[in-house]
Amino acid sequence: MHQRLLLKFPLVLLLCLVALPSGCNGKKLPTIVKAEGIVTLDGSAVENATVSFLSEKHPYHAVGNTNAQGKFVMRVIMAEYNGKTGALPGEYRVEISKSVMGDKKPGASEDEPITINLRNDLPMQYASIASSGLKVTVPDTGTDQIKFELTSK
Amino acid sequence: MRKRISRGFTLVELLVVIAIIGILVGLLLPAVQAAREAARRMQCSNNMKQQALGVLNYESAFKKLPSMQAGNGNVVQTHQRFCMSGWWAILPYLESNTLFERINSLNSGFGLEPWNGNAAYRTRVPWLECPSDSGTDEPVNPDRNRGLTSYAFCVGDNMAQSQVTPSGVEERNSLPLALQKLPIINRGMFGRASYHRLGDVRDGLSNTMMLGERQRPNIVNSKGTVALIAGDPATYAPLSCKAQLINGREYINPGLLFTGDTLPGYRAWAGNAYFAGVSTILPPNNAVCMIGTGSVSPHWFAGIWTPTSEHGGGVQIALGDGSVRFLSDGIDSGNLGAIAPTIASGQSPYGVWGALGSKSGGETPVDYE
Repeated sequence: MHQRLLLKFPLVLLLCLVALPSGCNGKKLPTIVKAEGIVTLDGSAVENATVSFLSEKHPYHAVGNTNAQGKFVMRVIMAEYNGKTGALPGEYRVEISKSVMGDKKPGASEDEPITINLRNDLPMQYASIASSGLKVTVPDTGTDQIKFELTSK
Repeated sequence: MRKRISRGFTLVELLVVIAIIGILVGLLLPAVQAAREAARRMQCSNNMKQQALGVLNYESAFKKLPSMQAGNGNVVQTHQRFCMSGWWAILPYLESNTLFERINSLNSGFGLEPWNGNAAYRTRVPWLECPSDSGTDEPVNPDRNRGLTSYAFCVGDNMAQSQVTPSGVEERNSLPLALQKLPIINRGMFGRASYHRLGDVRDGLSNTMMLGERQRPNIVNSKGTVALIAGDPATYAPLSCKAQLINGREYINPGLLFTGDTLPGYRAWAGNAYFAGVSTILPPNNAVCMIGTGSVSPHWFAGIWTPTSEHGGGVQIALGDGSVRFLSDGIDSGNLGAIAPTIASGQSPYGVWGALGSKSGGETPVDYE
């Protein structure tokens, strides 16, 4: 009898230890839905462009990079989502840019700074929400059909 | 007649003891870690207090605040002239006159090889290093280590740049000294060749930020490093910079981080805003971005020099009156979709945070703690 009680004691302690960390998970994050699509410039797919969905109503902005087929998959930037793909449903202003670091030129001596050639390979107007004129509405059910058809004029 | 003699512990007793010890250690360890970080933070804020006193002592001597970026220009033209940091200027007021004299006496004024070749420029001073930042060697180019720092001068809520000429021209190489010395006045207390009087801080010294933390990154893709954005600072919304950091720790485009030259925090005596400035645009511990285009050495670009730290949940700042505060990441930062204001604009669009940075934005003081 005595022995059995003693045996139970460490077991209970162990359970307590396991239970401790799962104590306070009260805050619930808003649900995110699928937000995917493609970017084209004059009809052809754009690789390595960065697409940003910026909201003026909430801090859950989303970003995504395009692959060789011009396809992007959005991710919410908040640390709490830990890089999970998707975006909050709702309306966003959109900007798209493709920053490219040109040739890196080391300085003549070690003392001279390194020079790079930074440029945007997409028309500059799309790089800022102030001038891009692009908008998107992510439906409650999510979508993978978002299309941004850019023109170089 | 005894049945048995107890000669030690039973297995069960041992298990119980081990379990209890385990729990105690489990409870204690995080507390010890937290106490260590708290001690580091205290040291860190103590350093900042010293710097703030140094700045105010400088003001007592010259009746003007030091400039974030200045110098005397005695460097051959193809080198970096007129870009000594404010830390250099306040050295004599923090009992480091020897180092000040040593830097000044090198190779007639500011030396032919001001950064790399000189031991004086690699000198580390303890009050510029926050113990929470552990990096001592620049992660990408260890040979480009100069003095270390974790702190910066507040430039306010505009896009602070380090040369007057827009992107594309190498001002330090191709322009005469008179043009290289043209002032760059920011909305904050500090700029290039701009020595403000305390009276210029019209929002009040207790309502205006003087110094902030810019952590010294010890790995490349971390929140303290700087993202390159090919864009125009005049139309760039800070929201876009915020979206560069995807999970509070990493950048979305690791290939576009500025790693070509020294990372921030590893060149204490350089006064470019990239190294020595901190802005009040994005709230603490967000992305740091520099914005521009063209073939230049980008650490002269305009940028959003967001304060970052390893303290967790915020950064420390010093106000114009010399007091040091801990500021939460959650501080109100207004409308981050708005384009950064120009010098002539009035109130800051970036809420309490922007108001804290501007020296004469005319905002009413608000409680932010």
